[in-house]
Amino acid sequence: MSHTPSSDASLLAAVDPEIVQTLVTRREAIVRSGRASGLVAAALASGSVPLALGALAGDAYAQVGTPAVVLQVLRFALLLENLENEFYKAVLTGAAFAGVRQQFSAAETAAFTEIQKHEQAHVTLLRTAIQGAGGTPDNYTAASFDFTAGGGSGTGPLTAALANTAAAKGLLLAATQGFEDTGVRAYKGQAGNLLGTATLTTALQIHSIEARHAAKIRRLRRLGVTGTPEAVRLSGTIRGTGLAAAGAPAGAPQAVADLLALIYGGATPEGNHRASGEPGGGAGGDVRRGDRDGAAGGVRPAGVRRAADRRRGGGDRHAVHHRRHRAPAGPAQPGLTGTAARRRRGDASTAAGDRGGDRRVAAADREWSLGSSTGRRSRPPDSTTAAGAGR
Amino acid sequence: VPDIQPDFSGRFTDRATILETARMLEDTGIAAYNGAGRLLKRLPNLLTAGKIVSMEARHSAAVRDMIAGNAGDLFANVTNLAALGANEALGLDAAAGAATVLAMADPFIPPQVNLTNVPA
Repeated sequence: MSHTPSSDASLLAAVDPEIVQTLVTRREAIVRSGRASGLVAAALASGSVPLALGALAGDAYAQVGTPAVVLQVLRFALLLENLENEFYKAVLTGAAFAGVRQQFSAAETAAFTEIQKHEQAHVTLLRTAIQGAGGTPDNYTAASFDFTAGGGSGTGPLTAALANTAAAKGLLLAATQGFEDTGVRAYKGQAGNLLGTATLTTALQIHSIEARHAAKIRRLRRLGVTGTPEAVRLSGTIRGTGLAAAGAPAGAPQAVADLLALIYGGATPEGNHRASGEPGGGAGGDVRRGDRDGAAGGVRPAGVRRAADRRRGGGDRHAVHHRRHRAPAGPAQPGLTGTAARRRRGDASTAAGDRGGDRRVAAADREWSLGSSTGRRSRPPDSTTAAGAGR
Repeated sequence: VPDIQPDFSGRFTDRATILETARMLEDTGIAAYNGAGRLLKRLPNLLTAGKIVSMEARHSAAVRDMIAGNAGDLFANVTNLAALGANEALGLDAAAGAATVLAMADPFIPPQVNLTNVPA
């Protein structure tokens, strides 16, 4: 390791000024309030914390696998699992969810019960692991989170998901899907920080369990909520990115759509279906990597991403945004292997070109290269376009 | 590993058999990926494997849900995968070494696969 980072802010400054500003602001808000809103918790889970940890690890690549990094990963995972566990407990037994709970079928209750059991087990497991690693696990309670995304007010936009109506249940399941997909991504996003450690296998075992949960929630939506978009696949997998993948319910409040946009920010090409070229595809147009599931680590906050989209003119499978040269139009560029190796050495622009991805893929690159050098950023100042995407 | 010509004879007899075969294949795949993750030395490979395995897990959950008639907890209850390293009480999915995985896949693979150079 080269040095111990003195602050997240300075590290993040090497990552992405726009994101840094967003993250730091939100983080400070959380610290001040001592309470994470659902929205911020989602941001933390889907972007900020993995990004911060990724930056930490990236700043000192040689640290990967060291006890300090592993402990940080475990602490982050504990936050996430607590978020999920408290959420499922609240839905199953909390007074706030008493209304929408009446809408639940037996199958839905059974699914939530099984998932909550797993999340509780993960919390226990992680607490033990943190103690075993010489750390002190943080304590979270239901009061640590505001699942209405109200910043602690309890009256945020997801209040609409609490009512005893079918529409409320639809919103609740959409948010649940977001939580689960976030969990899957977060574990994947942190896997690199556990490379070569004994903790990795356990993390992978949790990771695929979370994927099972995410699949089931999708099925619950398609089978039990009228009007759920077909983008929410019965196979449990992900089609498209951004809001297309989120499958926001028809008539969802804008605030809920924003929440989903935050969670699915577009930095994680996960499905095998392009959204660009379709109506509204700009929200999720992206390069696909076939049936692979996303990793969190660089999910771009919604507002930031939208600005990027405007500059890019929307997502395009064949858009390549490149810092220093334009790649010629042509078939798929060389794969990850050489690219990541170069990026690890800090040659971000070359990496971006070889990747043949668009800006959002450049963002996704951070996922692939969590734990690599801070030079991995390949954020272009402009929006040049060429072909060569897709893998 | 020779060119594999999988043998699925007798597995397409009825819906239940087909689904159960699919479940077994998906779950074995999950165990294989999870078990092999620690052997991957390069981050891009690990993350690619991670993206694949979570898709496999989603597939497995969907197949299990179909088996269970979209009810109950089978979609994620991994009690039946204890032999593949899963632990339902701890919320941990399957993770197994090559030999265990091959034993599961063996009935479908006529030629013998040589594990000599594969880490346990």
